[in-house]
Amino acid sequence: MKNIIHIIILTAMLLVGCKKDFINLLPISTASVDALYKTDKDFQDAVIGCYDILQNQYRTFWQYDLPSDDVRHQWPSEDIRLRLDNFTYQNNEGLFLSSWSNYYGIIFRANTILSNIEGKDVSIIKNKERHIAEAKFLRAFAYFDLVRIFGDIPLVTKVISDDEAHQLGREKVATIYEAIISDLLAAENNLPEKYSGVDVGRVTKGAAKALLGRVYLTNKDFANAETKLKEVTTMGYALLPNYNDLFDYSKNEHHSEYIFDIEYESNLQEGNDFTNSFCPSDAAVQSFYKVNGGTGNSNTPSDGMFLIWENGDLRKQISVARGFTDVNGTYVPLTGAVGAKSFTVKYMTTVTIGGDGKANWKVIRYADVLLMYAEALNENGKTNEALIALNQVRIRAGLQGYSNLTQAVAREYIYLERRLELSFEGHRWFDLVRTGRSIEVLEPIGMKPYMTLFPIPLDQIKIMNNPTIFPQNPGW
Amino acid sequence: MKKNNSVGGLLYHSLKKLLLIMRIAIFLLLVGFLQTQATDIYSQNTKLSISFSNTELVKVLDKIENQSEFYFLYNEKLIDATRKVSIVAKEEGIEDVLKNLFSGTDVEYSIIDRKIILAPAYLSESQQLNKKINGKVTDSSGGSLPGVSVVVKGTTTGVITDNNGNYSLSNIPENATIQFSFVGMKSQEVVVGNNTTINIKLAEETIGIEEVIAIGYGTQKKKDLTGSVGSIDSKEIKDLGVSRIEQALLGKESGVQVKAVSGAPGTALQIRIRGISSISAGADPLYVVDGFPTDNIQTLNPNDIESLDILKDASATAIYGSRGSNGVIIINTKRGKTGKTSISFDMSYGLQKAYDLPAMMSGPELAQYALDGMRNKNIDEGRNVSGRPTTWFYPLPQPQMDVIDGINTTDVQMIDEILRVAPQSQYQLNASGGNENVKYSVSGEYLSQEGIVKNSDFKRYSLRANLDAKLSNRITLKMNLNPSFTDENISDESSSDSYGGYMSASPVNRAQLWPSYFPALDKNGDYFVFSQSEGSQEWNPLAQVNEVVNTRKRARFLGNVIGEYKIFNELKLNVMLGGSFVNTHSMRFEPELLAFAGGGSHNVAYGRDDTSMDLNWITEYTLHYNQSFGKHNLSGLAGFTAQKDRFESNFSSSNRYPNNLIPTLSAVSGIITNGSADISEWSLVSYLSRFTYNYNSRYYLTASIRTDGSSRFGSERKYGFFPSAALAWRISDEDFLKDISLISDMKLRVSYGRTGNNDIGRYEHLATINYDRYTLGGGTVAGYSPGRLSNPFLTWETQDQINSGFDLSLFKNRMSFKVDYFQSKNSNLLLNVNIPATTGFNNTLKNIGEVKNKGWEFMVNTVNLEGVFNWSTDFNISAYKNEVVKLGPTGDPIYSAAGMVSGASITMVGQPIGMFYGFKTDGIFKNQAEVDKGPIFGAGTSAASRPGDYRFVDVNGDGKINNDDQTIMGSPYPDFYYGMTNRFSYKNLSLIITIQGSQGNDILNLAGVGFLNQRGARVLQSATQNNYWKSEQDPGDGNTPRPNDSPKGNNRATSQRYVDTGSFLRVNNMALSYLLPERIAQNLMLSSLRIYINSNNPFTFTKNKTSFNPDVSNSGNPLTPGVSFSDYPLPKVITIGINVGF
Repeated sequence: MKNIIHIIILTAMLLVGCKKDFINLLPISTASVDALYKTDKDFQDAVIGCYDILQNQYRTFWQYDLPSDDVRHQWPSEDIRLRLDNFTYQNNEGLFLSSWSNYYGIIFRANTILSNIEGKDVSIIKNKERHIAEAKFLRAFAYFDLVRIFGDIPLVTKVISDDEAHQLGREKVATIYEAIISDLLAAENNLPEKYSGVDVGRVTKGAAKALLGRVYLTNKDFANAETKLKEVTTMGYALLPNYNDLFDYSKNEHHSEYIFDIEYESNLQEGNDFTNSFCPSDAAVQSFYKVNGGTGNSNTPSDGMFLIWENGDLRKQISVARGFTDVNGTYVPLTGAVGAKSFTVKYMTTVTIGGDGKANWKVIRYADVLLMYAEALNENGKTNEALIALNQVRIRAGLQGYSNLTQAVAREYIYLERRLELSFEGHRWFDLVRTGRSIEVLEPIGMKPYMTLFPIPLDQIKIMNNPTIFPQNPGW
Repeated sequence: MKKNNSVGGLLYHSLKKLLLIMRIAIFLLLVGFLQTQATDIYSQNTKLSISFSNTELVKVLDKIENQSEFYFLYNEKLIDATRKVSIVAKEEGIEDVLKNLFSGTDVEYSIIDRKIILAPAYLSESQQLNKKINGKVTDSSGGSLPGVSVVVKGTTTGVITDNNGNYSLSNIPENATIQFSFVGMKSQEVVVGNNTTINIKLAEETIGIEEVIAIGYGTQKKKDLTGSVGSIDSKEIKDLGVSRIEQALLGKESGVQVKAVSGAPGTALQIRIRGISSISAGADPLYVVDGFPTDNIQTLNPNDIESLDILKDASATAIYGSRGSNGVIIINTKRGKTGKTSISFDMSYGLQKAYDLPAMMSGPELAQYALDGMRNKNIDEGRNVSGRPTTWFYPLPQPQMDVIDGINTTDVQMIDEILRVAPQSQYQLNASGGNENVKYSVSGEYLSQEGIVKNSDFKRYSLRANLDAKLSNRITLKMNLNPSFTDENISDESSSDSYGGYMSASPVNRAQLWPSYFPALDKNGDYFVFSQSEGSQEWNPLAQVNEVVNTRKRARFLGNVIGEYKIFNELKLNVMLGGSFVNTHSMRFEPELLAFAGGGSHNVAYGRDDTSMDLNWITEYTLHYNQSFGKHNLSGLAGFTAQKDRFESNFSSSNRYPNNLIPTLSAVSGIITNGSADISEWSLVSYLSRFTYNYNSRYYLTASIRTDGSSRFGSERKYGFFPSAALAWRISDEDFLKDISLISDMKLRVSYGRTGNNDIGRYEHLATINYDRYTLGGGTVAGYSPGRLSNPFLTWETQDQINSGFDLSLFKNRMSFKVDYFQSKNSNLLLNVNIPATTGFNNTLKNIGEVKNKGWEFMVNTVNLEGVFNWSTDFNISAYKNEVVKLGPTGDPIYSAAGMVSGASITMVGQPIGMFYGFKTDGIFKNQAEVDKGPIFGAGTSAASRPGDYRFVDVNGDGKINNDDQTIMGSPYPDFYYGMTNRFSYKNLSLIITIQGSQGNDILNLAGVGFLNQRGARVLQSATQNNYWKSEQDPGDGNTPRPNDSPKGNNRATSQRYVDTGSFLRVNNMALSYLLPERIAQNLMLSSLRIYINSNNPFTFTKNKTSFNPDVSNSGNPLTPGVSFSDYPLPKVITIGINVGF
């Protein structure tokens, strides 16, 4: 009898004794953050977390081209795409909030990596420098898009709490650029030039240099832009002989002209949905290109886009179309019955399941670098050298090279060439704003002077609720 | 005719089964498996220790009652209870004690089990008076009662029954009423009339025997309660004949809202105690089954339940700490009693049928509606509608034209094709008994309930063995074992939406939308299919109920062992060890069928297999102290308990079936297309204590404290502290009321308590990982990232509640009232709060919200008639008000989606949780003049309102109708709700009628998105739409808009058109039973035989025309109360049964 009592009391005491552990349970089917960021593989995997958001963000990045003059939204529905197209968008659009959240998500993940990797032993974290470089590149990349879209923004360079975030105001654009440049300078030194196998698609030294070049160019720091972009031209990149091959997704997308893409792949639940967005909701087109579901009639070429091509420009056919030539050689024009009267062929590729396209989004390719390089040279007074770079792009397009141009004329031709070469690749709007021509070009179609910056998402303004340090952009 | 046949057939079948089972039972008896024990063992084995000197006899008797299970019955006029006695007994038997007490007096005593009857010896000699009437007085079991006062009412004429309970009385005036009274028994009055013999059976007075209530980690006499506790006992449950225990609560208890939200067999009912006190944590009460806290009572057999006590106020629930704020329901199951083995067998058979289905359009009506809808579409665009409708610019599809032309005369209501009259049956066998050392109660049950939707059913097999063993004078062991198994075929409901893009996955809802001119089967007997151009495509509902396999099997083992160690007479240690193990396997298979091709997200064969197990164990140590010093009574409780749960689940699914032949995943050649597995745990350690004190049962004080530490709480908030205190004052014992005989009891109660809700997820306070993927090198690479911010401050939701109550009993307890008023503040409510995205996240869980509830509860119980004909009534009515005080930092309202309809429920500061949100309507625009007057929707656009479209209320008065005019358009909260139970009995016949009702609330019937959609040909429409606007000259009822294949004027927006009244009055249950006279039963070699007939939901009174059941709330989500999808109709049931005691 006594024994039973003793056992009972003993068990009770044991339970009380270990109660701390008893109620400190860690999750079983998911890991606690503290359990990770320990090994080299951990950091390699953590960087994937950054790319993952980027992949998500770039599904809809094309929408930032909608305000430009290249594209029209040919659908009568009242939604963000139409409002972007005709400059009636509001400060509470979901697009702005998702962009804001996505980019700060990348920044948070990069900061988490950087703070965790600090002080770690290189003998354990073999590729420490590369992980840091990748994280810094991705953080800089996110800030570059953010600053171009929203202007002054909070600068977060470490993991912050909710309370700290509430104290964080908007920093001047110049401060953000300083941070971007510093990250990219650090990144270019430690990124490899090339990857092999399962790493192909990660950011490279060339990507860091090219992005840095674009940043300098955007800041009108043409001297540094020229230097940096020149470095890229010596790294072995080359234009593909055939422009159309850039958009033939049955071929390897990591070719000599590729510098940095956002990667998508079909049949792996890693597909893009912009192929569907670019595909008109026209049954004949969908069936011809084997695209399951055209959700778009967005980002379709404006009428003006058909008028800018020289005869013989090999790029026109794939860039802008009003129909297609079927297997029997018959030309089938778009009926326009469902709205779309034009489309770009650049993203057309077989899509078996809607939203599972395999096309990558090209962020930087070598033709872009050549054109940026030409622009920098021309601004630095080296117009003839600029034309050499520019003409590489023109000749590939089946056109004659330019010669003997004044700096001013060359500038216009370079701008035009960017429009022709890089149409529907997410450049036009930012090029117009960067070069200060946006209002001149777009005011006739509804742009107002304050619209060079998009509004800070209304939700964020409300959550911060502090106009002193976190005001809305003017006009919104 | 058909129905009757099947009843007869099944009755015959059931009788055969009954005989078989009786034979088995008798066999068991014969082999002596159950031993019959003498009845007087208790008195022989019970030892008493008392010591009194010169004390009133009544006190001594009280002490004996308190120390043992004995109770005394006697006539106060004959036994001098104030006589001073002295006695010292140490561990003596009752016989010795009584001998000692009554030696030298004329009092004789007889001990019958625990009952001790005292009577003067002289009664032995039968008194011979002028005989006029005579008779015998017995107790409920037929034992004779000596010493009962038999008095002619209003006179002093009276006699006392003799030792055999006989009496005779003379000189009785005409129309006299005779009163029979005896301490411990309910008094009875009988009108003499022409009778010369009146035999009376007196019922034991429950008040006298002190009804005991479970209060959490202990019991309390009902009269000593300081908190607000309701209770229902086994007798009540037995009479109702319910298949789920929650059904016994319908309409029974004030402050407890019980909704039978779905008619699907085996479905849990929704219980809300004192309103909704949480926004995003759970709102269900905690159940405690034989001391085992659980959230799952799915597998309990209602007939095993002895008592069900509902702890409502926080002073009562605070002892359950962080799990108390939604109320606690304590369920205790039946235990064996000393004495003769009793075996009972119960069998019932019933039929269920859907009732009051909303009326829908007939085939011709729908075709005409479609025609008008198409005409309006053409007219709106200025098209010519003069020719044949099939030649219009937007032509009427051929099938509808065929109906108009009279070529197709099909007129079916698909819902009739998938519903059926469904049988249910229940068998159970119970045996209980025991001796002083071992008591047992064992039972077995089989319940089979077919659903009224074809191919849905629920079966339950359960066993229970409750054992009480007295190991020594100090140690008692109790053991409860409850294995059970349920087997279900499930009909899809809208909440189990796995289809995406569909309004509802429910075949009932789909059947409601199936155009009435399309048959269920085509002329070849295949499932009828129509094309998208002919109507909105959906799964053929008949094919869905017939061909989709959806099963769930669940095995549960629930058991616990309780050791009671009596350290001293006043101090007991209880140790409990318990465990619950639930294993569930579900399976689903959808074959590839044309009938499923209608726009569903998958039209290839699809199968899924789910398994899960839940292991929950508890250990509990409590010390109980009980002591009285003179008039001071105190008790104390201190304890420690620890509980842990582990849940493991996994599923696999595939859409790569080669054919429809094999439904299991074995057929997919190992190509599993989706799958996952998950494990999670929670744990809880608690320290608890309670102190109660009362002075002379007049002044009461109760105080309790519980501390909970849980794995669910953040590291900075690991332990919660939950105190409570209550005071009560029995005013009726005060001198100034003592002599008012009208008042039997009057008590005032006030209490305060703090409780919590820990249903906040399992690891929400920790920063956990999300798994991410990207594609590199042409393949997939896996990565990860932090999934949320850690929140070490995340913790339970807190409820502070005050309660004041007043209890009053009048006329010797024949009428009693109970009023309670409560006010509660629920703070630290868990909300997903928006935070600056610069943190890397858009929101995080924080304890930030606040909700208030206050309400009234009122109960009255009356004994209206007593005697040969008995009638008693219980009535309760409750009202509460819910108000959101605080939401996230920005105070933004929460818009909640139900099904496909987003934002139809709103939770905003200053309003109750989950109000209905949308446009208010003010009839329709009858003509162009009214349209011109406006304001209209979409003025100047092609979507502008036209004559025949809804007139929405311009809430903000800006002359425009747009989204800014959305507002609260209805409330799911009743002004009050009520229930009433009437019990009638006459001789051996008894009838119980329970009603329940709710007044002033609305329901939001989102199924209306389908059948009120005004699009004409697409789906079947409600018959309430028949009087629609046809032209300016024929505007219909002024409320029903015109059909239009392309609706204009925002007609399809979420608006008041989906809001219907939720007020109703329903007769929940009518139970008629007849107990065969003992004599006849004994002739049949039975100890008792009862036959009964029950009817569930026989009558419902409501003005609601659009849903199956006005008492609905589709999901348990606190944010979307009162939403209906018209899923699974609640059936009307009629049951007959027989109960045999051996």
